[in-house]
Amino acid sequence: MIFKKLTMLAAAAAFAGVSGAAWAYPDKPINYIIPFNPGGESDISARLQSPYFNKVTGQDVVIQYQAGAGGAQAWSVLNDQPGDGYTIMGTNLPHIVLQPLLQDPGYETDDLTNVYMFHFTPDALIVRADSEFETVQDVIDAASEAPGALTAGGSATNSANHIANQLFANETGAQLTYIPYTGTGASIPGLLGGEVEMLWGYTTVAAGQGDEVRMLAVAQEERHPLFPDVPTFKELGIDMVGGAYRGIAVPESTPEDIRQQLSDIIGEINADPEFIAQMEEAGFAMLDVPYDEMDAFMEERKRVYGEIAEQLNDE
Amino acid sequence: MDIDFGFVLSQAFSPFNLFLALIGVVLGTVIGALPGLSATMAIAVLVPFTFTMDPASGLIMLGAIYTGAIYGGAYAAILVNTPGTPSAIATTFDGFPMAKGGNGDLAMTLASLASVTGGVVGAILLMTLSPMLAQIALAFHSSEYFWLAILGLTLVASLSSGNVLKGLIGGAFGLTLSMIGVAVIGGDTRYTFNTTALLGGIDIVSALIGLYCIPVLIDMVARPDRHLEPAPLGRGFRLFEAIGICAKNGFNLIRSSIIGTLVGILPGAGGSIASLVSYSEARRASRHPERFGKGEPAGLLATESANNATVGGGFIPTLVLGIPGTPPDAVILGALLVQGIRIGPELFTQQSGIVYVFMFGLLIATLLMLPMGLLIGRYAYRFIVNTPKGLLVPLIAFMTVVGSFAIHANPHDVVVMVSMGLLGWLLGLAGYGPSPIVLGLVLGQIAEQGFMRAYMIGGARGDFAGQLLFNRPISWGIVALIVITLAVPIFRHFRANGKAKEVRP
Amino acid sequence: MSQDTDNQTTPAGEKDWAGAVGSVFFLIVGLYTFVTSFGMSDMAAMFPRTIGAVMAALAVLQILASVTGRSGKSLERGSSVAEQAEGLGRRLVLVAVMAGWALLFPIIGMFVTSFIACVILMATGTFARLSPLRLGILLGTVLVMVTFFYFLMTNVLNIPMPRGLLF
Repeated sequence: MIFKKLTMLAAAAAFAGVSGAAWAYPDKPINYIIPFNPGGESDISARLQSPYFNKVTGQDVVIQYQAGAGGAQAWSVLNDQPGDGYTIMGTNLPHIVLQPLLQDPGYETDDLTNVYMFHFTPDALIVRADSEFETVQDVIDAASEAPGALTAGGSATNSANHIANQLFANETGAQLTYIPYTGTGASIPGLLGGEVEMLWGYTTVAAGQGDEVRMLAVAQEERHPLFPDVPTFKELGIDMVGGAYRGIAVPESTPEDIRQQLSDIIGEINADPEFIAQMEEAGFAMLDVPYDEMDAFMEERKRVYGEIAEQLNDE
Repeated sequence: MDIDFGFVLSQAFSPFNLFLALIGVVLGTVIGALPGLSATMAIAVLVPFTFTMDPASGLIMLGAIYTGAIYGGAYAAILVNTPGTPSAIATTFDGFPMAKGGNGDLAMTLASLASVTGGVVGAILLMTLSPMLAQIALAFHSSEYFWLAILGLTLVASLSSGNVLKGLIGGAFGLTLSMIGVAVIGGDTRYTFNTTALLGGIDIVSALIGLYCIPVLIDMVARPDRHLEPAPLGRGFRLFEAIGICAKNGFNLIRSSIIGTLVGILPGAGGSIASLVSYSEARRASRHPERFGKGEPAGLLATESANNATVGGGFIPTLVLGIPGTPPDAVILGALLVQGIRIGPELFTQQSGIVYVFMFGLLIATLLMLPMGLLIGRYAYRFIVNTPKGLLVPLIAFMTVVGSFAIHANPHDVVVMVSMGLLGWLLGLAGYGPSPIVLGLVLGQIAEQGFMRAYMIGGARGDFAGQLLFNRPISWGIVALIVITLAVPIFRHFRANGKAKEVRP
Repeated sequence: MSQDTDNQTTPAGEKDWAGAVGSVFFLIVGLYTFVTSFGMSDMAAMFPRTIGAVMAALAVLQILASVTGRSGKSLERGSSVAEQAEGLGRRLVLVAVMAGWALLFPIIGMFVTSFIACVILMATGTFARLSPLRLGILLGTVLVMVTFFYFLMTNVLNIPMPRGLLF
């Protein structure tokens, strides 16, 4: 918390300094490219951010969509865009680490200049409300009796959900059969309709489905404010913290000072209590990784995903 | 449920909301008529504007655009043989032959009537039976999706009657095209030839535009005669003739609308399968199945009523379960979330009837589609008929390019569109029609993923056959339909032969 | 009940050479799909393997049917090879313009490429001689059309355009 407050103060201070300068950035609308189809979590968070962007800078963001190949289509052309600070693009972890590791998506992880990671949707193990599994331990016990007989749905192969399934198996020894669906949305009817016993999803799924589902645990450091009764995996002795992280990146030709200013702007939006309340209500978990801490954060993530990717490749 | 219906009606019928519904329908129709520009795109662009409105007004406008855009898809399908969305594929089967045969005006009027019928049936089912019907979305498991895709694929046989072998090969080729890209199940990169451009697979809409429209363009520039024959002067909407046809096809219309609504409920699959299944059913039930594909009004009525019924159907899982039925539903769901409206069963009982205002708004928008559709359709028809080829060819060609680019803002999709167009033209020379390929492409992923998931889940539970068919009563039903669809033409064939022999001693 | 006699306009015994050539293409695609599936993971390989094998087998049957003159004509088909002779030059111009358009617009820019392509297609689709006035009107209309849709894409639908040399 102290850390969060400090970054907030720093952001505010930096922004105050900038707005006093003669050349104000931004002085026209900014194009915000979402590398996915509208309606997804990346789109929703951009939509939630946009009024605050206007509040902080006085300028609008124009949300554009460039979906394709799980985001790779847009990321592979990000550096061809003009680096004047008026083109920013959403980035997602683990996508931007895993895609270059497992296939050739036309970019490398280090090609993307991330300036801020603003939230994540923590992995969560979700069951139906009427499920026999009350706790994570129930699942582990059932899975050890009959390894692989329990099915857990999730979004696609080699995705954040697939990683969560693998991490869970590594940590607990519980073998679940992972069933890939086309997306998080498509996996929900699978759970509710009883096709799979459980779901590797996110807190946002549980927030959207309300009483229909029960979360057994979330992969966060602390409990999610929306679900004070749901334990974290860490509390249960399972070392799992992660999920799908979202942030923004700029073309590599963007000058250092504009990168820093953008990072400050997003930091200020992320510190707005009203905004935080809206995001948490929808199930997101706030995160603050500003530009100057990005390298360390990315190194850490690359190490974690790198190990898992090897395991997934070996399968 | 204690909904204040006085409040709901006064809201839905407020002049401002009626005005929004009207604007929405017109905008949607125009955007839907332009291939490549989709309802999803139009809605996504307008979502920020609706944030400044009262949530009910915003929802009404988005719903109106959506239903208008699905209807507008019929225009390009009928007039230039180009389905702008997968839900309009089956409309080309009979719509374009009708237009070619000089009945374009009748086809446009029929499409309006059918779309309004389908839309109204869908909206009424949405208003009355939503919580119950939403269970369909959950009752359908992966195996049912697989069988449903196979049911759609049986259309290949009827579309290629005369040379079913070529149809089957075309269908298999379409299935192969659908595998290009990163596999959802398995994660392998398949048939991309190490190009990053193909990682995302072949976009269905750009393939549709290319396969159907480029051969039409190629034939268009070859001859100086008109693209479509103009209607005789003074001929009106042919509304009474059209109503007569609809009355004769009353049962067909209702059946197709109900199929459209029910299949539309299935998330991810509904939109594209619904119109194919109802077309296939209409053909099977018809006394003149041989007329289908040559300009049979009943075929057009079936597909157009079914695809507009999917609008109401798609909202059922969206509003009841928070699971979007179609991409436009996903955008609308996102818009609701941003406005702080919680989706789920409680949406129907709490939140001061906002859902009911929206549903009435959708119904009103659908009804408004009739006068507006007849009017716009008439101008669209006249425009296509009267524009000289020198302008029509660049206009349509430009639409294919910007349309396929607009889908994902991706230049590769334009290359795919043109390549598929050339391939479609060349294969046409060899007697291979585009529709089996398209059916394979559209249904391939649904079939493959449905089967593979049933296989994996069955594997985990040690009962694959049960998971795929034996323990799944809904699958029995769909398999029965598949068997009937395939068997009836054979049966008829033999009966016809038998009779012919009796007559000719 | 004459659904078959309607469609089989090909007299029995007439050989379908175009169909045979097309089927060879599908045979190759089917074999390629089948063979390459062995390099994939089990989950991803099942469908390509099955469908590749089925397509190749059906293609062999069709080739046999075509060269022995037993190939019927489908209800839905493109125009035949013989019909293509009419206006072949214009057909090829259209094909070349579409291909060039698709490949060049990311490099040159959507507006310029589209305007040039539309002008060429306008000429291709025009059969009568044009008076200068009429030509001017047509060119003007094409310019307005291209401008309108370009504006619609960039400023109304917010679609990011490729950054070409021009615009």
